Amino acid sequence: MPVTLTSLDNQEFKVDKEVAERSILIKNMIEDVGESDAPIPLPNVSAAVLTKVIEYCEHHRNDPVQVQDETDDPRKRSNDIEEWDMKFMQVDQEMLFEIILAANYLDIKPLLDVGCKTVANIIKGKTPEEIRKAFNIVNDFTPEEEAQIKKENEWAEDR
Amino acid sequence: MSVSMDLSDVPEILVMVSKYLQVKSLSRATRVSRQWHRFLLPELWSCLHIVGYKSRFGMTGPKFLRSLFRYGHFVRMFCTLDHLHLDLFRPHPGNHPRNDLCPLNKLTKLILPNFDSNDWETGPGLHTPM
Repeated sequence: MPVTLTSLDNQEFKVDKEVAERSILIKNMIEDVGESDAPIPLPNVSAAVLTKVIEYCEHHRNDPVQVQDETDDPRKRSNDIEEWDMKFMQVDQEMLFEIILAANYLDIKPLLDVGCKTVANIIKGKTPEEIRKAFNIVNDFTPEEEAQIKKENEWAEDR
Repeated sequence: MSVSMDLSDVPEILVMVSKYLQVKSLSRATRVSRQWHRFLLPELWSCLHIVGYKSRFGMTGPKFLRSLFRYGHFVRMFCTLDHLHLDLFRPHPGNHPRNDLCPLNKLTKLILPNFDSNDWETGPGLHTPM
């Protein structure tokens, strides 16, 4: 049975229920409302972003429910992104952030994870200046403050 | 949602991203801007595994305390673990005025300036063992 999702800009998307229910938010809404033809409003997601999110959910419609990662390493791995997901995430930075925010809002954990991993991979191996450049961030530290922080975090540099 | 955003506009996302960074990258990320520093520093310091430090450096009680005084300016959150000898930190039950002489109060004054010693068992980051 299809459900209708309405984006921030009032565009309607008809998707299979099992696809829509990759989003825990939508799944809970459907459960709460019961059988209904009424469109589900998603006022925080634009049509462009919702199109991408639906594309992701369509591709992963048969994936098993994700279980909690309980590895010994408290730092999570970011180099285990599937090839399809990696290609899916090859979007401009603004869209990448919008997808992450939408995944967070819609409660689609696998999409949120893959978005965070993608951003982490951009940060990895870069100096603070290179990170600023990558994300267009202004350095608001004084040179003294930055030197002080560097000194305080020296223990982390050889790990 | 904002059209143009910095990751630190949504701190919980920045922190989620930081979980995928190894310590060195995380340390560098804390130096990006004040906001990044504010949100990522706790995550960085949570990577500092203190379990076993005392035995690794062969510190006995007084030496351990001296080190805490010396490096107190590095301490952001102070907690005692149940495998440490809590007698070091427990207030003396004798006749000393609590605020002057007990090692706990001196220590916590140094590294936790806002810590109310009367609440030492439930105070910030200070947990008594089970």
